[in-house]
Amino acid sequence: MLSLDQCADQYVLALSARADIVGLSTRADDADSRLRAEARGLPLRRVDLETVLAVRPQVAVRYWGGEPRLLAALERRGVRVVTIAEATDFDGVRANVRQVASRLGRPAEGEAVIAAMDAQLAAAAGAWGGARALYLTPGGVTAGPGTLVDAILRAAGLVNAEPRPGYQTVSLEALALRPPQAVVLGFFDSFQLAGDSWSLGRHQMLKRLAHERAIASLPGALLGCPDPGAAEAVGLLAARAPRTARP
Amino acid sequence: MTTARLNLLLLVAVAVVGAAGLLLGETALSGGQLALGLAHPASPPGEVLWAIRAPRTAAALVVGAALGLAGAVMQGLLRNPLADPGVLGVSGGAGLGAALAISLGLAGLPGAIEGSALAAALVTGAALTLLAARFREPETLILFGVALSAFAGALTSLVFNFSPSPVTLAEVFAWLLGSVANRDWSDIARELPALTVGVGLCAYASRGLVMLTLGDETAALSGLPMTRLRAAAVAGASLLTGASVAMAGIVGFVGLAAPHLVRAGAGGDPGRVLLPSALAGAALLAAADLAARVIPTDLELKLGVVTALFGAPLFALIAWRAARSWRT
Repeated sequence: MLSLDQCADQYVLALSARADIVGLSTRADDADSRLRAEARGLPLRRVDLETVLAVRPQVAVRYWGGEPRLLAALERRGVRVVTIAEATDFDGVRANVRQVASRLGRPAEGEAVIAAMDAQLAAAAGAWGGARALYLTPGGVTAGPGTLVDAILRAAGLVNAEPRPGYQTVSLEALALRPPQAVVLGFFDSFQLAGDSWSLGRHQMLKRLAHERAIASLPGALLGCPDPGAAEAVGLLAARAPRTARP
Repeated sequence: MTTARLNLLLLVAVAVVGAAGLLLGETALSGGQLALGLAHPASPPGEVLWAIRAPRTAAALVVGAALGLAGAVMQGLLRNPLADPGVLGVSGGAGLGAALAISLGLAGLPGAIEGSALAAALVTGAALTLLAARFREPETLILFGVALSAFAGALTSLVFNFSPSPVTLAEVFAWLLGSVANRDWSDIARELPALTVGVGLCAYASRGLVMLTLGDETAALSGLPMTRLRAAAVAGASLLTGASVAMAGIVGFVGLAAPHLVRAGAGGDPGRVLLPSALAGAALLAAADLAARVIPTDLELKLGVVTALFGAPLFALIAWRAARSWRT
């Protein structure tokens, strides 16, 4: 097995036997890679045709990695390319896990990952008892209905305060005039890593809003990939719920 | 028009644009909300006015003034109507400095990006001075500027090339587009020392600029310390540019346009163009930022994009006129 990007790394690490992994992406051990601990000791490879062919993979897994010409060249040489699909809910994540697991020839591992994920979701269900919250990234992006973030909020018993569908921008002015009751922060950890210099996340007003209203901060490692990390995010949200909110 | 009158007129323009910067924004405030906000800074409309719009407008005014002044000093020093921190590659150099600091992971260190942008601006400025001292033709310097800009651009692309993550990439890109959105008072305060020194150096150099209009030989015979004055002018203009890039990214063409707008009113003395250029730059950039805010696009227009859209055709126009005067 060979992984072509950081999201695919998570799938390959979760579903394959270590001995079968011939290569992970160079970002597999970065701070925003969820399974970076498991990636340690495995070969990290640059995605180019020579490198990829030299390790003779049977299956290459990708989310966005590899460009069309590279993928076509791989398929011409008999390497099966599995693409992780965009998921906007947990059914989408389950379908992804099943698809990748079956193409890797590890359906049992896939079902085990799904079972663990479902147990995590069941334990967290309804934790916030219908409280309203707005998702917010340092770049001023929020997520409405039809996004995996929305599914994460709902799975933890929160009501998404953003009615517009899809990923949307919010502005400082709108937040100042109509501050949300509660905020779920996303990617604020990678923002601190990068020290993003200009985004709205470093504005004094937003820092105060985050300080006073944030109920949880979801790390980028749980949000960057449509994978079981999303269920971990739900667990993290539920763990922050006050006991009185639980049904 | 006397210079005093011109300055007064420009001050009024700055005040009007500044007030508009407080009153106009992405969200429309009602009369009641405005009154509440003006009286109570801690109220939600007050936050919009004083914590969001005021520092943003102030940043646009400060950056515009710095670039206007830097442009006027460069045009005077090089006796070239096309000189401008952007055209000559000083902004590009500063942008490269910032990009390098970000991609080396230094963004967390306070002042690292700013310091890097300033240092890179000064190095580019020094390179220009050396070249300007050797070659006297105004076209040549512009060509060197093009080369310096291209080199800075290539190195910046290299930074993109090696960017470890899409986050870094996006962040470097944001610097290069230029914007004063989401600025805090602390962002302005951080650049004040560099800006103050830059203004001081430019003011000191201004008496030398008028001598240069009489030609290098006359200037050398004037008894003024021309070498020191030239160095002060380059260092001052580079500091101002570096601080502007550190605060707002690459915002082009303000330094080019501002001196041209006021030159007719201020007369031929390049020393007298400095203050009006700074004022005109401030008003221009704050007005461009207002446009960026209120033009109802889905994603806010970046300030650097707005100034380039208006500035590039202006550059062509000035080049047209300048080329005709060089030929005769």
